[in-house]
Amino acid sequence: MTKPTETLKAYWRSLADHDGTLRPQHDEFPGLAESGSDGLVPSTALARRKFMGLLGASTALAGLSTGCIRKPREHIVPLSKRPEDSIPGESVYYASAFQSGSTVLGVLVESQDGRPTKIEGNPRHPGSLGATDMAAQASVLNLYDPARSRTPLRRKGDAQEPTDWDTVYSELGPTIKELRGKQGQGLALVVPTILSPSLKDQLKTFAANFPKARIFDGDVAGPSNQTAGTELLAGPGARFTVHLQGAKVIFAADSDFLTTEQDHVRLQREYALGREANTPAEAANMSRLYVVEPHFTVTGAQADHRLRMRASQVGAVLVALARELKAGSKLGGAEAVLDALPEAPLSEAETKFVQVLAKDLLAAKEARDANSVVLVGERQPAWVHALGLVINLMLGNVGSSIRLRHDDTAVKVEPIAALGQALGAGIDTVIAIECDPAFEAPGELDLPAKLKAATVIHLGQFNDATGKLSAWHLPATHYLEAWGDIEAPDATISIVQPLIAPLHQSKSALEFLAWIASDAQVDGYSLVQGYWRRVLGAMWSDKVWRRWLHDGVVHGVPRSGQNPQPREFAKLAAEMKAANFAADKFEVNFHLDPRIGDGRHANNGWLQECPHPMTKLTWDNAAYVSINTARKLGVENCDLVTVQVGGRSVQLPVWIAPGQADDTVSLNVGFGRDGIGIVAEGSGVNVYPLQAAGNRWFTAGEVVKFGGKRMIYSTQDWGSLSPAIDMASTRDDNDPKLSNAGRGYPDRPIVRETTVAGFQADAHFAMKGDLMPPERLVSLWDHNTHPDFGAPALTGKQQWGMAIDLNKCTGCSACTVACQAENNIPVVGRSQVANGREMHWIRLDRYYSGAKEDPQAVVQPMLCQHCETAPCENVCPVNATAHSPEGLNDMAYNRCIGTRYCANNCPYKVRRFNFFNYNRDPVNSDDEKLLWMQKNPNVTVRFRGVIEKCSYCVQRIQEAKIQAHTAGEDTVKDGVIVTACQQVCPSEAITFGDVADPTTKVSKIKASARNYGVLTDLNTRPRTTYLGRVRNPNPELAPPAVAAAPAAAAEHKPSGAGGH
Amino acid sequence: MAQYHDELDPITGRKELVEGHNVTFHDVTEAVARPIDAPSPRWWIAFILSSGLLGVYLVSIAYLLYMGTGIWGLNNPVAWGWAIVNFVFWVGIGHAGTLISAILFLFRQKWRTSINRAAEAMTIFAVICALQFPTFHTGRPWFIYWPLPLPNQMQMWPNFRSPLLWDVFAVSTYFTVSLLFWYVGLIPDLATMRDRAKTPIRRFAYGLFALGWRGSTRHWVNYEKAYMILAGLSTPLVLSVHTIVSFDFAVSQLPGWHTTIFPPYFVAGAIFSGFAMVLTLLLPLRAWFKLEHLITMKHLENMAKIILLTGTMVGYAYGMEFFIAWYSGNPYESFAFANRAFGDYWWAYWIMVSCNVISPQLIWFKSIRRNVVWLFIISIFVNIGMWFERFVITVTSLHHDFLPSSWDYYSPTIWDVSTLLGSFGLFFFLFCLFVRYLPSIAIGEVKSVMPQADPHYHEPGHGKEKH
Repeated sequence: MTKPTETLKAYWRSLADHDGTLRPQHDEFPGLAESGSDGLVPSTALARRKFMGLLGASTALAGLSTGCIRKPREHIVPLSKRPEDSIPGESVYYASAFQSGSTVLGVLVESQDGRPTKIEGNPRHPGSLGATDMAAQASVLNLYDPARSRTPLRRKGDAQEPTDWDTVYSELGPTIKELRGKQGQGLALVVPTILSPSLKDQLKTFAANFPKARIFDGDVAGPSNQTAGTELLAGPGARFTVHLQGAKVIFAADSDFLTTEQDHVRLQREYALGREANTPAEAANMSRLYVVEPHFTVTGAQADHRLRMRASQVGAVLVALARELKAGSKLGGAEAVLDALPEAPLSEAETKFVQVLAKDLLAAKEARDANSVVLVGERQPAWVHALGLVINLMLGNVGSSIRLRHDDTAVKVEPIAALGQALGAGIDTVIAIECDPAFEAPGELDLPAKLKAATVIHLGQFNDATGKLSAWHLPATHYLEAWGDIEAPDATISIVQPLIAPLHQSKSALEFLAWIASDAQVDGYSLVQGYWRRVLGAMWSDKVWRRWLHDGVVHGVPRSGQNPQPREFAKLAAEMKAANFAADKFEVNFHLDPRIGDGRHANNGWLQECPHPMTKLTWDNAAYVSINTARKLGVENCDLVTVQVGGRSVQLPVWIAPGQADDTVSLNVGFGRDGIGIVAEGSGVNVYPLQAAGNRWFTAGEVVKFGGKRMIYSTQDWGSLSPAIDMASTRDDNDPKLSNAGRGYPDRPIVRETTVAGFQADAHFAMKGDLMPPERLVSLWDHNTHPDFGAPALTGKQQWGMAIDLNKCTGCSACTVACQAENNIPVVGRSQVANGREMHWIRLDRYYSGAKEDPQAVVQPMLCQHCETAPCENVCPVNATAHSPEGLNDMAYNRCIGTRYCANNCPYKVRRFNFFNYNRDPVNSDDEKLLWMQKNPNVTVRFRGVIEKCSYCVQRIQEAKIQAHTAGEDTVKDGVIVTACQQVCPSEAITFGDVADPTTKVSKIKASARNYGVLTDLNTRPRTTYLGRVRNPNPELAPPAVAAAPAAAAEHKPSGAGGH
Repeated sequence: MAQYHDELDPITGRKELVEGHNVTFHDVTEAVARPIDAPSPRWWIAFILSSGLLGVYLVSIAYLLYMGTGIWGLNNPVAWGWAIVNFVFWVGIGHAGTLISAILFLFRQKWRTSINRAAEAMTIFAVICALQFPTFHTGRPWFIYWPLPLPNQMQMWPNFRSPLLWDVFAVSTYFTVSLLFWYVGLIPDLATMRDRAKTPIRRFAYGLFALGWRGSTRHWVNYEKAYMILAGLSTPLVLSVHTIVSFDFAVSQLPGWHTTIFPPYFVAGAIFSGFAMVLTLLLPLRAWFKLEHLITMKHLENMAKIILLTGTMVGYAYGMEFFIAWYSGNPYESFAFANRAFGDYWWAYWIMVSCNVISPQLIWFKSIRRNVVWLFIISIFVNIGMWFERFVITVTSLHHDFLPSSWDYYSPTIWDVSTLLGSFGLFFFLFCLFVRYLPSIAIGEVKSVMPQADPHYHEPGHGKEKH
């Protein structure tokens, strides 16, 4: 495949491209015309299957008319005539969209002979800008998850018996009719965050036909607090989006906007653009990020100034900030709020922080070409969001970095806590659609017991906690199997088009809700297209529709004329009065997991195995505590503690998370989702039972040592670049009584960073870290030109190389998962990670610096460096790894005998060994064929006993070379080859290309003064180089404790760096 | 010192190599061959025990082949673990045999005669054990022949730059030459056994391998020439094999491995461990087979002195490694060594130092080096210490290398332990078979160093009786 942005039309096809009129040119699908419907809008279930057959044709699946139907009734014969435009073995891309919470990513889905295999970002979609996140990358694996529900299940006593949709329609239908007769009295509908216009339309029908039914928000990952805060101030339907272009001062108040908040992919891109620092002059213009948060997040690691604090104090900081800004910034009408600001009990350091921040924000306000933004995290209660919006108003950010809009079709939902009260008090039937309230609802609500007493109808991909107690559990489709549409928070609309017929007997939420709402079995395609035909009216044409499908973005549909005005200041003033900033003994924080979200991806092996971006834990959650708290509790990593909230308690292992606020504990939700599949089973501990009904994200609690251990595993044991500092233990590393082999050794110059001032003082700071200056390196190879024994001959016309900008990399880990998807990297499981045998080809090394109690963090993507004089190549006895003339360090898997000598001799430790036959796990042998469908046919699936490692996506290089060759060119144009990690990277930190040509982007980046290679003093001549990081601290703020520690390390320096 | 009295050879005036009064050639033949004719119950006990351990080995290997290398404790930074430790350990042990038989032969060290046979057998079995590990530690042992330069239609050759390939040549050459050397030395004794054989099978088997040896002068002349040539061929191999094994480490660029001192240090260590293993084997053998008059205190003392010498050399190397690590100014290198002694595996390092450097120093005391119990204990310590030396080199260097992000701790699994124990089973099983079916002392050679072999020698009483 080539870069999807090039020559788009040539290889993305939508269904509609198949034929201009969407009508078969000849009678290829007999019977379709007789279905009595117009064109391709069949109205019966029978015709729908035929429609899917046509879909199969366009995806070039063998068997044409029967190909996509899962259980063909006829023998499948190979195509005797190739369908037009389809080249077997060549991948095709379809535009679609992926939703997670309220984040919408436009995607291009790669299809290999009818199998969706890889998700890429859609460059035309403003929510993804060509990138995606980890969850979107992994979503393709969810499609083939063997644990998905396959048939509808009907309750029979305590058991569930498989049935089919005809039975569902005939037996459940009367119940629904009866409910409709009662106008929906006693009916509760629990839905996820609904952004689909056609689904909202069906919901409207539902509300009309079931006027007394109540609708509840079943989505933990949704923006309910932000919405509530915005609506508090600006009225119902008001929404806003954040934009960081031009934002010179960014204040994230408990907002992990780079990984878990709404629009994080776009925000990462915009944030990274604001951190460009190619020259000292440009660095002076960098944005500055202030963060306050209880838990060290990816955003916190990016911060120039970060204060760790209790989540309950974050509101106080905003209050203090508003007070501070009051003088310098008038906001007419907001006096109600500004006069009602309560006392904010802040420490001295916090006060200083707020003062400096306020000054910086006001300076940005005054500056002509700059603005600022205050982001409030979803975890904060509604009034803090509203206050954040007021501050943004004061700073004049509304309209620039904060864009308000009105959602005319917003669905009014009640919070899940209301369902807890309503159940047994009027509500006796619950329809849960694509959510798992029995698992995810706050424990205080005791929802499982209450749901058990009600009649539950559950549509979901898994027979999960809600499914297991439901009267009917109905399988839901995956988004790659069904038609739909999504309107992103910024009103960008995308059509979701399926790539494959449903693998199991499942229906989409849209189809199901349409059936409930209007008692008609209409297929998703008709529903979606029908809706848009209605909306567009006369503007509708097949051409428009085809354009939408092709681009993945809907054009020319006006959404709302209304413009919300934040003016309900009195309401906010009233809410603020109730705020309580008193410090609890212990604060228990809950967070969406950066990998598995609220648990929706709990059965996804890629995500479970992907290390947590900060703590590097895999397969588990933990009670994250600071080192001080761990010392106070007398616990080390893996010791069990009891976390208690309001009489409900959970035991889970402790993990020391440097940078966590003292006397707080952070718990990631979504784990411990037992009973849905072998991946989720036993992975972590379910902490939803601890959550309170009111504020589910943080609350007062108690943590005590429980005794005993539960072993949990991280992929990075040593978190510091200093051999002396063990970040994962409470020990005092400077205790003279401690036998510490690393004491007296300098920090290793693996990651190189400076401040803006440091960069201006010394532009070549990154190169200064080399232990041996390049001119003093003598290579053995230079004297040896023998073709077999000398240095690899780099005779290729193009020489591949990569540059990674550490100033842009946030550590979000999307590249790790993208690489796994692209390169068929196996999941090895918890026990193997425990042994240190994870297989990721690209990993994110996270190093803490500074005081152990309150460190800063840096991340560094580490992958095969493709050294020109690679140490691994010399030592392989069978020549299984060798250099290509174009400078790639190639692996010949079928030549490898597995001596692992190369892995030992790799200074970067990026080589991975197949200790077992991971791709043929005997545990799920029956299901493995389903998982095989995801494999990329262009990459060898490795077998037991061989080494593997990053290949710079050699399959993409080769494909681009073939295409260039057929186009008559002798070189591949710059930018055509996009590696999987580069493609997915939201911050565009990775650049790949030809380093022999000085005009390419990668060559230009490598020419930067910040460019350095890791361990170049070994003379490995790595082709992957890094750009040193530049931080932008505010000189007015006393440098955080961090700055003290490098100075301490510098005492030892004479023996090491710079000593040569 | 006076309390130790050794019989002196009446002609050379040196300590007697065969002790006892009136020991005749026949007595020697009987002493060596008797255990072969009728095994003692002790042999059966040893044989059954070692067969049991061999069973453990076979099960371990079968499971390894079925499941994959993952059954061991290896992980990402530590890609070589016990298997390579065991390999180097066994190859090292394999050094003493050829050193005794070849180098001591060329240096006319006559005391070698009564220990060379068993030591050579030990060498061969140790190398067999050693070869198991590089074979089975690979991910795909069924392709273990790929490093051989076999002509093929793809013109695929092995990588001649890889130390592992040099290893393949070095160890296989060493094995072949050692086997030949051993076999050539066995020929006269095989003929003796043929002549003593009481069953047709034995007669045939010994006869077949005795190659028609009749003991004629012409045979002896040719034999001794061949033996001399093989000794000459083997001598450089003694030094080269472990030098090349050390290249597996020294040629890589890993801190703690990338060291120029490795070749001499490894050779000294190999001789050290080899002699310790010879002692471990021969001390029970001479007691159980009543060969104390053939493997005398002089032999034991000599071996103990070599252990003391090489142990001290190894100790020097340990010290020098630290000095160079500090002197290099390379922070990775110096950290690797600090980490060895004081890091996660400090215990392994100090076990190594105690066993290899401290325990041999006891040999300075004559009372200790003439005490078989003490010698046996020291030999066991040295064996343990040398295993740990390889563990320390292999594992501690790998577990904390350049990038702290990759650092990990390595611990073995039950299958690592069973494979090591099982390899001892294989070794002792082969050794038991050796002492059961082959003369464990070179009868012909021992006779040649007895006073009777000297033309000037007169048996006691000869002169007086004058018959």
